[in-house]
Amino acid sequence: MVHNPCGTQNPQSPCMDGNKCSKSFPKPFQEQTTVSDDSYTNLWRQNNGKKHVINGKEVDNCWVVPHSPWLIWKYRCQINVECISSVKAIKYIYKYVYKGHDCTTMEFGTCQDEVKQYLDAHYVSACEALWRIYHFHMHQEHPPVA
Amino acid sequence: MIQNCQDALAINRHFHGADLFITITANPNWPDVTWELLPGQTASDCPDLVVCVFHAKVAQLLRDLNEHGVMGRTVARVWTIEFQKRGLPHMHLIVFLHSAHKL
Repeated sequence: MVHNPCGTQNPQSPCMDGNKCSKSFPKPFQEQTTVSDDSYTNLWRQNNGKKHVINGKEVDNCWVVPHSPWLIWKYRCQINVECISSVKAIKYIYKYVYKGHDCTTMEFGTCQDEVKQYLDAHYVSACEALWRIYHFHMHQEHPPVA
Repeated sequence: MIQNCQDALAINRHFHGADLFITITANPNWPDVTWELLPGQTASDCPDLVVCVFHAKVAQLLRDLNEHGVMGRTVARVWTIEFQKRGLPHMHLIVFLHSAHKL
């Protein structure tokens, strides 16, 4: 699994923040796996000269996203697998604690009252609505904490 | 949500740190979805189908990890479902491995 080529090859890529990739791709080659001071792991990326062409763009080991080939083969979708070296990952998946729900601002064109013209609302997409209608779980912590 | 976050941190402390961070995103081109579409329909026309297929895939992934142990024996897991703005669901899953299989 590789990151969609961005940077100078594709400045319009959604991951671009200014003129840098927000996911910091392409990553430099690494002789061995190291843990940096900010507890991110720099995985082993061998410079073996292999290149592939994806969507007309050339990619090498710098663009590979950590993954498990067996899981991708079985589930046929994007599955990203990383090892964790700090507690930050848990805080990341509960970031909605700090961020609040998905929100939207709607604008109603014809209304005369300027206050009523805008409405701050909670945004629920079709998929999320159905997930809740079917009563599927939104999260799980196992084993239970007493 | 604060309570869930604190529960997850308690699990993390009890099992001496998490091991794997897995993100799975729904794929609108799954054959399970495309086979059921009527001619001319796309996956975004049938969010009910996408949601049900994704739920089944997630259940199977959890079975593979926890019962079949494809990544090693697991002792705990913490996961949440999120939705992108345009709607596709994805899951963030943190897996805690048994001390014999820790990374």
